[in-house]
Amino acid sequence: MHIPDGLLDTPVCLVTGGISLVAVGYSVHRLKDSLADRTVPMTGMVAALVFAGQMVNFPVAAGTSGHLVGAVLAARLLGPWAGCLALTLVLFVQKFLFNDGGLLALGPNVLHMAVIGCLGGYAIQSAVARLTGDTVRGRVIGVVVASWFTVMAAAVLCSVEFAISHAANPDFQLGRFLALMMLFHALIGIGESLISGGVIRFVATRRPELLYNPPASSGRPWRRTLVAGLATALLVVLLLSPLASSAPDGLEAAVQQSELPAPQSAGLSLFGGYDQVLGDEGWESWSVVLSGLIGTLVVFGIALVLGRPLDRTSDSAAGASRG
Amino acid sequence: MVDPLPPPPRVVSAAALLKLMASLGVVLLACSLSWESWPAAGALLAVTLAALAIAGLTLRTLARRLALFLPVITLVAISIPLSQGFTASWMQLAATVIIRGAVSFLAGLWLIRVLPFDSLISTLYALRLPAVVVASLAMMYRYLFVLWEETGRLRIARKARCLGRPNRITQWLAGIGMVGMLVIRSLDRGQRIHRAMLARGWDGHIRPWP
Repeated sequence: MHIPDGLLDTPVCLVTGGISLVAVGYSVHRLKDSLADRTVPMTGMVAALVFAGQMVNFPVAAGTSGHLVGAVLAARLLGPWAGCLALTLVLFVQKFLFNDGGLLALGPNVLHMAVIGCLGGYAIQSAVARLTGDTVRGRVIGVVVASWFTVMAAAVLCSVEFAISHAANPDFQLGRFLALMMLFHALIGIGESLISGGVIRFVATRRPELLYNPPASSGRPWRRTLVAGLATALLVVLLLSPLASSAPDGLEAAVQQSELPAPQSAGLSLFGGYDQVLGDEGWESWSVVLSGLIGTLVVFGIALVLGRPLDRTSDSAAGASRG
Repeated sequence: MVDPLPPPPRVVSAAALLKLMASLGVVLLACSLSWESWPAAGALLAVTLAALAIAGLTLRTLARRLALFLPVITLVAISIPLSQGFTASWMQLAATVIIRGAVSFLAGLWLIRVLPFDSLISTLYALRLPAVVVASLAMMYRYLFVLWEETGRLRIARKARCLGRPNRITQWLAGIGMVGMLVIRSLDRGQRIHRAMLARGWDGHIRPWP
């Protein structure tokens, strides 16, 4: 899971490092008013725990073994913000005490494992737990689903970063690289889900009070997560889209190679292309950025509209439990 | 009420900063190398190896660390031709990734050899990293090896209880139980430490040495 130095280009590492810095900095800021004096002992201890937990090997096949990543587990034990900090510390110690992972690649590694793993993982498991109810089974299902999806999300993001790093090569086919990465990580994700779900079940049945419970006064904590997610997505678009390749993607390349007629414009689209929003000449990069921002906001809006039933379900469930 | 003591001064160690910068510089240089610039890669590799020798790293330790690292970086690099095809250009890119990764790995090995972790924590504090991050890092460093030993004890206890070779499913269930027990013991320990820190006047702020 750890990206070594040399796989991604320096600008990609710096941009992802900047995004990680903002996310971890915001987590530290949020910790100041949530855990107070418990932050240091509990975060330090859970970080050490995740590190020690990674020492337990699980046999896979042909003499190989895997281990826990622990991001979703840390988020379930400490909450998203302290979990994110704990995982960042784990990655930092792995680099500077054991030379595991890259120095420049610390940025992408923190983004994939600490930010997506803990913040994204916590959001997913909270949404699942809201649907299934706050039972041991609901918690376990939430952790299992979150573990698999965060591993896959990290794999997709890593593939995109790799594609951007090699955008100068027109022969690079992102689709094939993505397929390989997703195939491997789908299996890794199953392992991570089984271990994290099993551990949470073990703890929830024996000592449920040790699991993190969000403070009751926070009302709708998902709103802040939503805003943080949108801000992160917009930041990624703003910083990474100018680096995107102008070379054809896998489908376009396949069409070109097969000498099929070029696809015609449907006539319903608002813009002629991602790079033509602001006109044809000289504004291509800014057009791509603007297209990314518009697309992100539209998808976010659709997700909000589709997510309304979930909110109503949780509200009615809360009302029923109060009644 | 007693006024809190001022936090310890943030004094940057020039030597530590220089070591960090040197390592980062080598990694940046290594990541700019390509297959064609192999003489520069060779020179950088020679300089890094010389620095490792001066730092007192034995050949045996170096071989042991490389034996762990090289299969991993090769596996990562081979994913490129595996997905794009085994042509000359993709093989060269895979080789470039291995060269860049190997030089950067050696630079990292040199850094952890010459910069002890406690010095790194002091340097991070001096570089104005938030105190809560530095203190959590120090706390993690303090208990990392304690939990490591705890894991070893759990593993020995499991072996002592279950003689013979268990099947794969049993190994997974036992591993999950072991990590679960580690979680319970660690969080209990964390709460005990928190209470002990509170008893000694901990209020979430780092104090200087008396």
